[in-house]
Amino acid sequence: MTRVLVIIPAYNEAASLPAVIQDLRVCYPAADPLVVNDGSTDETARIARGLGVPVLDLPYNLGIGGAVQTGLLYAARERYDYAVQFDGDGQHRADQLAALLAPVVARRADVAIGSRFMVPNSYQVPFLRRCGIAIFSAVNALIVGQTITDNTSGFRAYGRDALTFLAREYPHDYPEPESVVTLCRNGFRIVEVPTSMRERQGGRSSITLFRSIYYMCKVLLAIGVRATGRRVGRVQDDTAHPDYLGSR
Amino acid sequence: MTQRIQIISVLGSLAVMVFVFMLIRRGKLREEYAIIWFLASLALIAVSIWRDSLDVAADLAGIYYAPSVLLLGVIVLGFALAMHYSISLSRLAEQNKRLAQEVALLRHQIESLNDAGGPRGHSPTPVRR
Repeated sequence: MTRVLVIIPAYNEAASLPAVIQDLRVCYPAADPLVVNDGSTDETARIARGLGVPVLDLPYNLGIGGAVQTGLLYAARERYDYAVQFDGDGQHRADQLAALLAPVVARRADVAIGSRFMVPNSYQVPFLRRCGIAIFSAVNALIVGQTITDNTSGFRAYGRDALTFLAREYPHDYPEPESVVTLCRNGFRIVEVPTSMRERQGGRSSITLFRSIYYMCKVLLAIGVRATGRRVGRVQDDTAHPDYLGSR
Repeated sequence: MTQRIQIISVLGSLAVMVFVFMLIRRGKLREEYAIIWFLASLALIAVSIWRDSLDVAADLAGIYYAPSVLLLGVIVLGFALAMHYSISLSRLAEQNKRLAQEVALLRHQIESLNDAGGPRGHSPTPVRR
């Protein structure tokens, strides 16, 4: 029996979380949802617990990268076969989860990324953001020799090897485009799956217009460093502390 | 005149060394950082006593105006220190993140243990002495 963990990073997502969990339970009941509460100041943790979902409470805000990595650490230690990254704001659709997992389960890929840009006109992206995404796509294509149309997508499925690897090596603040390069450089196979996404149900995007320039510079720098950087090697499964597993 | 500035700078350097020493004794400064400040004060004392060293260094480096060697040295030291702190901060941030993640995972583990009936005899009531 394969086990799937759905990691839901949530920073002040109390408004949208119930619908997200409900959506997951209806569309993909076989998966275990896990909320990573990234130091929320609202009722996120209480609401998630009220829904009977396990919650990892970070003592303070780590940012999306640190939050997702916490979920990946959990997945690695609890011996999950697959992990899915799924936003807590209602953007991602649980009915697309099976399609996202399919190539990973079939071992055609180690990582599947849900792309908004393989379905024509399905999702309205503001012009500037579309430009940024195009730049990432071009830069990453140049570096890894594979065109990823939606590098910023946070709707992703990981196989066991990839999730164990990322539990150790996951980028900080804005991890998505950078992790594509890290994964490719370390020999993980990535496929994109056409996905439609909803408009946000609540909360605000973590990337405001003001921070976009900083975001672009930081991520491009990180990608550049990754492109020249060391290969870390695939799997040394040292994420599982023996005491932790022994107590189960 | 020259003696006066020599005395002032030697005294100043000694004061820095004493200050650093006191900080270490009170446990407010780790030795790894203290070493840098000790070396800097020692270098300053050496330059104060042997003033010609500046001229010698300027000659060697092909610098026309000898006192600028001192400025250059201070700038290089400041740069090296700032770099050292950036590296330390990055390492601390990484460790801090890992620690927060472990705290979250452990807290969850404790919760699930408690939900499962909890380990008997390990109730959180404080032990009276």
